[in-house]
Amino acid sequence: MGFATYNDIINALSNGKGQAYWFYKKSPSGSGAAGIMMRLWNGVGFPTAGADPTPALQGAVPTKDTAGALPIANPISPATLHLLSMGAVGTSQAVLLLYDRLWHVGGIALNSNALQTFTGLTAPSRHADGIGNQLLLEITVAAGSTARDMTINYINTNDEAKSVVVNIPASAVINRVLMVGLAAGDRGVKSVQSVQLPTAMSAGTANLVMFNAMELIAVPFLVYVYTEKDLVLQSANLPRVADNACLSLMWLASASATPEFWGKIILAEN
Amino acid sequence: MPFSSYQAVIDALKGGYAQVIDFYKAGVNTSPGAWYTLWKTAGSYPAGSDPTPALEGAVCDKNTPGALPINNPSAPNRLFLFSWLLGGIMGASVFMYDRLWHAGGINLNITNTQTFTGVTAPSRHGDGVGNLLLLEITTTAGATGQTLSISYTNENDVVGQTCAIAVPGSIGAGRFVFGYPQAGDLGIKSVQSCVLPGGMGGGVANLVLANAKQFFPIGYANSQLLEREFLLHVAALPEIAPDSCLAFLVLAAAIASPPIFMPRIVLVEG
Repeated sequence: MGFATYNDIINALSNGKGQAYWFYKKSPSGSGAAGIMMRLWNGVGFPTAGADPTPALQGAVPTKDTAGALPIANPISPATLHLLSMGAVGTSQAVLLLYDRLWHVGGIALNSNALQTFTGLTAPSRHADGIGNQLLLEITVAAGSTARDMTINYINTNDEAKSVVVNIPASAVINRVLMVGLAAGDRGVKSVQSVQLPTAMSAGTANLVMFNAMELIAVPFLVYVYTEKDLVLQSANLPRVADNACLSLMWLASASATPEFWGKIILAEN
Repeated sequence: MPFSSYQAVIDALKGGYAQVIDFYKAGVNTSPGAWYTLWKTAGSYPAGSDPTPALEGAVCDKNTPGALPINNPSAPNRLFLFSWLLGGIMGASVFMYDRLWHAGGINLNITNTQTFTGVTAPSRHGDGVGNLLLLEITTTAGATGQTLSISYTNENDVVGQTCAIAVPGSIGAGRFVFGYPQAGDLGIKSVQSCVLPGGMGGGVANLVLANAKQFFPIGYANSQLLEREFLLHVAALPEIAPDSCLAFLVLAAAIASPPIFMPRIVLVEG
């Protein structure tokens, strides 16, 4: 099902089929800097702080019920849930990004050159075809002082084994997010098997996270001034939010800061 | 009845189902990046007051002095925020909330458990989901920052949950601090007591149970007027519960005493 017309959206909003969630997040330790992406998964506030997945190297699929996720309600089948708008403001000029945290694994040692193979779940239960699924690294213990490459081994949407290299900058701070580009021609990631640093860093630990690009929404704002993005008419998008989606936040910093953020998302089901 | 189309909204607006509320609220002396309550500021409708007697809870409604004067919809209609127009003398953000319940006279200089009496739960948003707390400072706090622990009942009727609010030393009257449910909780149903680990050296506060309604920017530069329509401009159509006590908070962007001028809120029922 979808919304056949804008009138259907109006009807849903006025008929108890809308969902509004206010959020507040305090950036955790590790100041942002201009052009640096930082996570809010573990920031205190509402929703409450998420935890790094444990045990080390064991994959898990977070859902709407996982601590750290916005507590959305699933639509009543066969209806589908869609993001209509999002607004945000903060104590530092920034871009706030909303994403569905499909799968994650923690405890990746950056000070090891061994092959680190993931156990447990290695694939998400949402967006299982992999199309549009992307990867990011979250630094959970500050990285050593010399930049190193990490090789990530994954299965693409055609069930082919692929690998990609991501550079981990020297002294990457705790809570920094590093986006991972996929191998040329790939449309997404179905599952992730292992990682390896050919040369170990002197320190550091990281999480690897899979998210879906279709649900990545960015809201830029000036300091202290609330800004909204409408995803129906202003920016035709109307992203579908998968059942059980683990909606979380990250932020792109414009300056060194440890800000606080407030905002609101509006969802509706058809 | 739910709106079946945008035309139905237009029909409601022109058919006597709209409430156009023009009002004025004086500002408060602000510091950048700090939140302030406008509950007690003067304006075109009566200012609110601190609840009395001390520690006795009360439910606020549309008839409580300090509430934006609205009319309830005719049953079975529901009431929605259709548009908002607002200007001020500096860039900032305004936050409209439903003031569900409040209690005053919390002494910030004692370590005894302060137990609330009378009504401890709101009559609106009684399921607690999404409800948060505001600690409104009514007498400037002493210089020693402390963390106020508030005992509350969550959305699942679990009693003894804790909301911890870090109260900065010397926080001034008119400011407030947000309080959020503890990890794993989706909201606050009722509030039972609060306690400080040490005295702050002075200070008195109100505790407010609130449900977030809408953010709004006061211009991207000084003295601008902005408007939002919550259907075609930003798909949201926030619902306003019958008897809502609508009140306002400001996130300040500068040191100023900002009058909010020419605000207009349009509500529509259907």
